[in-house]
Amino acid sequence: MRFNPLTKLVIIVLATFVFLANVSLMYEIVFIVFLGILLLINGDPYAAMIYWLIFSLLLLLSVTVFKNIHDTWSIIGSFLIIGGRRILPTIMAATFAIKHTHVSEWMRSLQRMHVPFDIILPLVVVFRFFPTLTDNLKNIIKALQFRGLISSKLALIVHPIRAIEYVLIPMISSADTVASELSSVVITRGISHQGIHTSIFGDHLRFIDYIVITSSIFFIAGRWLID
Amino acid sequence: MARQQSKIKELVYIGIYTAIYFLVVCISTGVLKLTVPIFNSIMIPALNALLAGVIYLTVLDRVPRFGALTTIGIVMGIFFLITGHFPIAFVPELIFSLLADWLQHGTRGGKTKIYLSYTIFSFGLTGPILPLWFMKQAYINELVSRGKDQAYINHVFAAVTNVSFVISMGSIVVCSILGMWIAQKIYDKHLAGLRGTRS
Repeated sequence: MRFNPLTKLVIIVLATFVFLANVSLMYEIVFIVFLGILLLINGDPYAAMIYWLIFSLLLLLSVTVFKNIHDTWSIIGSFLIIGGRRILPTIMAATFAIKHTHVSEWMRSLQRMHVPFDIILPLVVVFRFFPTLTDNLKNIIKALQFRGLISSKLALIVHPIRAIEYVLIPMISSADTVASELSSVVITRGISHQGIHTSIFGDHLRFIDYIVITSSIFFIAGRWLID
Repeated sequence: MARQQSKIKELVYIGIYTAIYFLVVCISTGVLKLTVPIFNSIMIPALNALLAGVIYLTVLDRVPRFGALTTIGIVMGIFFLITGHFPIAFVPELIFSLLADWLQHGTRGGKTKIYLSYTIFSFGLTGPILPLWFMKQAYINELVSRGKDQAYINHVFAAVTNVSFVISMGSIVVCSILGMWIAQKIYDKHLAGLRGTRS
């Protein structure tokens, strides 16, 4: 089932709120279950299972191994575990937001929210260009190995300054070509058109979106009423 | 029409350089995760400042107008927001990039100005550190609920937080200046000839 990008944004804000607010353990568990159900509906049952498993593990560790906090190691360990449990909802929300939403859908939603064109266009370029960039990175490293300039990827970590020269300079140089290509794409696909755009993705909220948004409001209200 | 086209090209350039900048952020995060086992996120801005100077110089050369750095900051902020790992990273990103932009294009000055604005711009990446602070709050709450003494908790955190704060902020300044110095060497060697002059 597809969710509206607006709903996904609401969930991210809600997760951030839960991250910032002090919530009780019970609230945390309910919230994690809620996010997991959203992931299930969104079509990522495996992600939901894995996150639930991680959460249960962290919870189990904090009540068994790190029950008594006395020396330095248990302080560091328990800090990481409690902190990790705390940040898990935002990571789940991010997974929920990124999966199964097309870049065009995000663009459509941002336009509806009156985000300026000067910000939407670079953002779309980042989304569109980032996969290409990681491909380029792999190819550049391959080429460096082929020419014997580095022995392995480890060599780049050992000499970070040389790594800038070898990896970033080719990328920046090739950015010129890519920029002219993408500018043409932007113009031919009409993204630069200043008027009102239409989209093949329907942008109305559906029943499921209303349910999720309403329950988000309940979650925020529940923070003060229950906790 | 021609003016609109050149504006679009500038926006595309900003997008591309933001993507490269973000890739550098990812790489420095990955390297730190591999090399430093815990609390590695406090060093992310510093390492990134050391590596990303060339991109900063290229942006200044390609889009020499007020707004470029701010747009990069906002786009990075939205990207952080949607990818969710650092939800509140939006705020420092916006403030520091705006400040760097104003310093770079709104004031007069020579070469030292670039060092200063780059240092400020690097502080925008302190967003990934902020969650640690909130984790600390969660941790303190947990300790309190387990019946630990407040004095004990303060004792645990006093040394750790102050030292790490000073190290983190200091390393950003040092690495920014060093990174910009290296970046200018590399820029002059490889890119200055292709691009003409840099102001």
